[in-house]
Amino acid sequence: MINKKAQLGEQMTFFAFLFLLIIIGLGIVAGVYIFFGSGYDFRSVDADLLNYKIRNCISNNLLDDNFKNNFYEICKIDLKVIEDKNYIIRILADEKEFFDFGDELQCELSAKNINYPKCTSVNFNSNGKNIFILTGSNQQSRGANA
Amino acid sequence: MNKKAQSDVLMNNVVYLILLAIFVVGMFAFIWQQSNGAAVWEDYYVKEIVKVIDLSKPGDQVTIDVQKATEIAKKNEVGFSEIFKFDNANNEVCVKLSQGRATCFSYFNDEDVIFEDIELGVPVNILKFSVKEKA
Repeated sequence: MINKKAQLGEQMTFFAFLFLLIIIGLGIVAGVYIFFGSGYDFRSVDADLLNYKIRNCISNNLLDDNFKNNFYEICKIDLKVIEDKNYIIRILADEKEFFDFGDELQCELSAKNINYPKCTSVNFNSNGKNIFILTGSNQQSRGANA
Repeated sequence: MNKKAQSDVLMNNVVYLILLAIFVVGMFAFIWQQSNGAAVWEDYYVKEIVKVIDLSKPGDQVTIDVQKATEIAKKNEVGFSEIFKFDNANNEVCVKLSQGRATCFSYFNDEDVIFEDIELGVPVNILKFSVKEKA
C-alpha cells in the first residue's frame, strides 16, 4: 500500500515537470516574439501612396461621370486588391461626395485602436474645385507556404 | 529486488532527461531561427519593393540593393532564384528568405512587374525588375 502511494507520487512529479517545461517554453516563445516579432508597420505609407496616386490622377483628369464610373481603370488602380485588402477611398469635390469605397468611420477610430486602418487625408485645388481625398490601409503582409 | 528498483529509478530519470533534451534542442532551434531575422527582413523587403512598384509607371526599370536579403537567403540555403516572386495575376510580391515560408504583400498599382535578374557584386547584390503596361 505504501509502495503504491509512493509510485503515485512519483508519477505525479512527471506532470509537474511537464507543466514546468510548458511554462518555461511559453515564456521563451513570448519573449522572442516580443523582441523580434513587431513587424514593419507599412499601413501609413500604403495610405500615403494611394492618396498620392489618386491626387495625381485627379490632377490630370476632369471630375465627370466618366471618371467616376471608370475610376479604377483611369487611375490604374487594381480593383481586386482594393476590395480584398479593405482599402478606404473617399473623394469629395467642393464638399460633395464624388467617390466612396470602404468604411471611412474606421479612420476616426484608428487613434484609439491600432487594429483600425491608418489613414491619410489631403485637400487641394484642381480645375477650380476644392478636392478632399481620404485614403486608408489596413493591409498586413501574408505568410505563404513556399 | 534491489536491481529492479535501480532499473526503475534509472528508467524514470531517462524519460525526464530525454524530455529535457528535446525541449532544450527545440528551444535553441526556435531562437536560432528567429534571431537570424529572416521573417523581419522578408517583411521589410516585400514592403519596400511594393512601395517602389506602387510609385512606378510603365517603362520604369528598378534596381534595389538586396545584399542583406541574399546574405540571409544563402545562410538559410534558399536559392537566389527563389527569393523574389512577382505574381502579376494577383498583384502580389513574395519574398522568401528561409526554408518553407514566404512573406507576400499586394500592390494596388495596376501594372505588370517583370523580374529581370539578381546581379551579384556590383559592388553589392542588386535586384532588377521592370514595370510594364498590364497585359
